[in-house]
Amino acid sequence: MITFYLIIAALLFGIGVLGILVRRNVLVMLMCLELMLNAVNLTLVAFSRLHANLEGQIFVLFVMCVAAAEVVVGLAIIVNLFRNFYTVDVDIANGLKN
Amino acid sequence: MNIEFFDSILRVLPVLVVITLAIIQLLLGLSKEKSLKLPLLVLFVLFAVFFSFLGAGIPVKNGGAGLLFQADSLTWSLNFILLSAYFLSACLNNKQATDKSVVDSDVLMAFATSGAMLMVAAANLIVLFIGFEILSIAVYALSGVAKKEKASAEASLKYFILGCFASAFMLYGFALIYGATGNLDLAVIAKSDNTMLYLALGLIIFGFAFKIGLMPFHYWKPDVYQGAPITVVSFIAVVVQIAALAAFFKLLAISFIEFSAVWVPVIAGLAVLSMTVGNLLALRQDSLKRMLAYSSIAHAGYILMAFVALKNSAELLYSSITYYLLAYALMTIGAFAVLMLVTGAGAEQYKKDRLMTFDGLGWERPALGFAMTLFMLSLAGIPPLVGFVGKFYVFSEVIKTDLIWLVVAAAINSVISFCYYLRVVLVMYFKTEYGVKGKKRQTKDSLDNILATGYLKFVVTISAVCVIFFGVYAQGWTKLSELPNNLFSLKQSSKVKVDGANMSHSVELLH
Repeated sequence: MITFYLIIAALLFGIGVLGILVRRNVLVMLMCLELMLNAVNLTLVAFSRLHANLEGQIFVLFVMCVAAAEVVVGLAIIVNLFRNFYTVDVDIANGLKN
Repeated sequence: MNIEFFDSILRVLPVLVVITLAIIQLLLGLSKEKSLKLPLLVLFVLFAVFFSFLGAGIPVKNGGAGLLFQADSLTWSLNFILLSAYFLSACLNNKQATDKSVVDSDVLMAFATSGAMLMVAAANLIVLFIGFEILSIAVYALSGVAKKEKASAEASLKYFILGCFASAFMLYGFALIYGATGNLDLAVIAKSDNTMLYLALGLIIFGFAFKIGLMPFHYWKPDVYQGAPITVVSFIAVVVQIAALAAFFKLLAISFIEFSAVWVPVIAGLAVLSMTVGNLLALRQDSLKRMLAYSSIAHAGYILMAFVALKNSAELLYSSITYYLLAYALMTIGAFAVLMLVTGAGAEQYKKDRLMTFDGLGWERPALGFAMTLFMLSLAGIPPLVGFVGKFYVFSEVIKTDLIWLVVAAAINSVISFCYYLRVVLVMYFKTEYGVKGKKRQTKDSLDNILATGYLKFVVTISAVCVIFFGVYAQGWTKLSELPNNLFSLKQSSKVKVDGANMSHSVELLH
């Protein structure tokens, strides 16, 4: 029963990883990051059910807070990027070299 | 109000003090009053150091917050290093008294420091993760604090994406640990054995390797160092690296000591790769910030190398690693302070961090040239400076294991690193590569603000004195890190024992 949730979570995590590696739009990459974090949340809740203790669910609450903070800072960084480069494409915003 | 309550409070108090400082700085940023900055900083950092000293010295029961936070002599020495590094970097962050971004970065630095202190004190995976994220999120914003600079915007974006990517992997590792053990306590994890833990260990190593910037996962590091404004880059270079390395070390020492057969080869490989490639790429750099980024990758490799000795020795290894971390902090902050005095903190800083800016500096400004020489020689590891003693300690720990090839590789790497550190010294005194004879430059500081220059000179002086002092008198650091235990003379009860590692140590003592 738990295995099913774990497989779904692993798939979601994989989709998130793939999205970050493949997509070049920063906003989509941010969404993929959220997908990865939520996959972890699903894993934690499933394990919490398995072990019949609440520590995993408490962890999930903290992860959600952190994810929210991450999105806030991430969007601010993206807005700042857009003001400087007039794009949200990571390949164009790539000027730092020796 | 029982004893346990105070006990719990005392463990979190250093972190709370730093958070309070951040909030006060945030409020002060609204007003025009700027003269309070330094007194506040000194006061709160002293308080935080004092409370973490007290926390390490006073015997504590393992109830209440003791399940979440450790307070032992290792935590004390790490807190001491982090707070001193924070203090020195915050002194560097002093561009112009009217600039808003200085307030922003002050606040972000204080929050990041509180996260770093949580990380190194954590005894629970939730606390570790939250500390990690408080540190990371603050630092993502910190590297983008120069909003008008393209380089800064790009650096913060790269750091953000890669950093979040890495922490998601680490978090997945934590979730798998929870799945394997049903527990989030670091010490309890060590007692279980489950194949899922191998996968978790792999994910965690991946996450930390990204965060520390070890070799295959280092791509963000040179870009962030180059792109972030020079007022904050020393903080990013020192505090993040120290906190991540220390937390990684504690996690391996406490939770995964039984798995050492699995992770020792991986860690050794990562260490050698980081040292070699970091040093080789540093040879090619013209930008000093990029060169210091690659050098910090190499130094992370040296420190990581010491982790392989974890199974053999405990207390001695702890003091070797904390000594190296202290040495790294002093040398790097000093080098960045000199760089900032030379390049200034305005828009021109991104063009002036070239090697040729240092052309003839040793003759034009002897004191500054001398200090830079000192830091470069110490980074290269020349006796009797602090960098040499740190390397000596780490190498002698690793020699005790059977991984001699690791020490040989590290020694060869030290030799390679001489080339690029000494190149800076050569450029300063002998004008070998860039010299234009007879060309006279202005010899005043590039910073337009007299006060800021004063702060910088203060940081350079302190770092230079400490680089010599702790190099000549290396026992000073051991005494300082053991001070809480010795002072309160409650050795047997006050130490929160690290399982496994300490056991093997006491076995050694018996023989």
